[in-house]
Amino acid sequence: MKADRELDLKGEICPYTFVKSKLALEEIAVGEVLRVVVDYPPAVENVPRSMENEGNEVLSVQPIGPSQWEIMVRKVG
Amino acid sequence: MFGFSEEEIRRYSRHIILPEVGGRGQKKLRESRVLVVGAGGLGSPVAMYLAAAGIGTLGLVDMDRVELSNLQRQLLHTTADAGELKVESARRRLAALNSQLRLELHPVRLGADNVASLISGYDVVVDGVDNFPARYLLNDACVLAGKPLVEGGLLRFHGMAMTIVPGSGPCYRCVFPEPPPPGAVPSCSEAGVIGAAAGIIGTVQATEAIKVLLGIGRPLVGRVLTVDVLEGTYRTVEWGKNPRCPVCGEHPTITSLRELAEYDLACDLPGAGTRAP
Amino acid sequence: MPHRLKRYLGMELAPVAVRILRGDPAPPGGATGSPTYCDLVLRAARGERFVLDPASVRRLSCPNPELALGFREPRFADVQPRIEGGTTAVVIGGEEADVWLFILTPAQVTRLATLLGGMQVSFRGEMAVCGEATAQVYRTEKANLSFLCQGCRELSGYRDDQVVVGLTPAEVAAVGKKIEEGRKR
Repeated sequence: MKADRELDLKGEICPYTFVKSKLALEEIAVGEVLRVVVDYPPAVENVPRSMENEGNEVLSVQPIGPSQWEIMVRKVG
Repeated sequence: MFGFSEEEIRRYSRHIILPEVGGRGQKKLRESRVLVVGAGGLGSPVAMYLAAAGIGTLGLVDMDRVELSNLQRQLLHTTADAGELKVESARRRLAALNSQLRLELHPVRLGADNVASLISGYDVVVDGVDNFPARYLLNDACVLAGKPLVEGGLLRFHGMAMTIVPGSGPCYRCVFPEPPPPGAVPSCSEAGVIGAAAGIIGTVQATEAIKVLLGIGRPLVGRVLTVDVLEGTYRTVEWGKNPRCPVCGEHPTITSLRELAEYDLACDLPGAGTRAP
Repeated sequence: MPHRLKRYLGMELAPVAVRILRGDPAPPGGATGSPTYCDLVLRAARGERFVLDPASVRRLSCPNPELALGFREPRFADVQPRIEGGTTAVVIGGEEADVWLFILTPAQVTRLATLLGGMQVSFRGEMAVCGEATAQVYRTEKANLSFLCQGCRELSGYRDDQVVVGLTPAEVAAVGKKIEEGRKR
């Protein structure tokens, strides 16, 4: 799946994982896909949850390396 | 992201996480221009909160110099600033608060000759003057220019605030059609004022300016907030437009900027045009 | 018992009882607004009482407690420390506790650690008050110390010199007894 926008949040912790993913999502158009890379374990759960809470669609969350995850999210509204 | 630096993201993160503000709102604040008239009791919290909030450009109108008797309520200025132009001492304080703020200083007396050009470059005007001639002048000029104006006033233990969005709610004259006759209402220097109350009204004004800029919530348009800090009562009174208002009514008598007269209302203080409460 | 410990340590804030309900229906009056769990703990230490039910825990502005306290299971990555799913409500404040939370200064932790006969603590600065100080203590039945997390330090009202220790009711009772005996000697 191709992302329209990439956001590298490695080294970033709460609350900035949330603040920055929210900013990136605000900037893309409805229907576009954002790929977020995190290495902070709680963020693997929290970033998808926050994005869903704001009405977006989490497409997938996958490990892409030791303690690294990729979150794909589609902007809905 | 929205062109924010890392520092800006951290600095404004509490705004950004609010759904009503977000990155888009914060960017809008950065692109906004606000004119604060008076760098005194009300102007201090207004300017400080707006600077902290990330407003891009702040204009400051005040021709007075800092006096010791100002320091009981005018938090922009410090003891060491006594004798200096208020806009200069405000510049130091605001730059320390937020170095990204662009400041435009207007150390001039607000008058019929310059009010239109002073307000013309700004998105919102905030009134922090302490005298009726300047207040009515500012109201008339903003109504004629269609410019949002956040009103605030303070005396002794009482304060008021309202937001004037010309066309969609009452103006100051709809509520108080004519200035009181000279001497009818004492000034702060005669009657006294509780300094901390300036913080209450000023922060309400700063919040209103932000709401108007972002188009969020329900600004105090068509409602007047009155505060009695001695009693601890805060009331909002609904107030509609006055069809007979001389400036925004159905048959206005004040119709052009040329007709803006400086009222023949002597204030007993020098520099009355822009002196803040 | 926890109040004896408060006096002995000279604590500024009261110990906070945290009750974790598993299967029992949630008491009425779920917390309103969107505070953080850390906020609620701090307010409970000043005398308030809060109920977190599945709806109110979802409204919290920090999402960690929902996982750490066992309101739901993680979907994408195992996040520790946490209580397994099955929690129906958490009551913060009051007198009934599965875990007691103590908001302490490092100097007070020194004295508490001595009373406990030593502490084996584990923390990593993530999911701190909810995970390290509450969930872990509930699960292992052993005291733990948390230096809080970045989000808690930034979003809640803790001072830099405040840390949180979680104790089981049995540990609180044992420590209380030690203080009592010390006084008799």
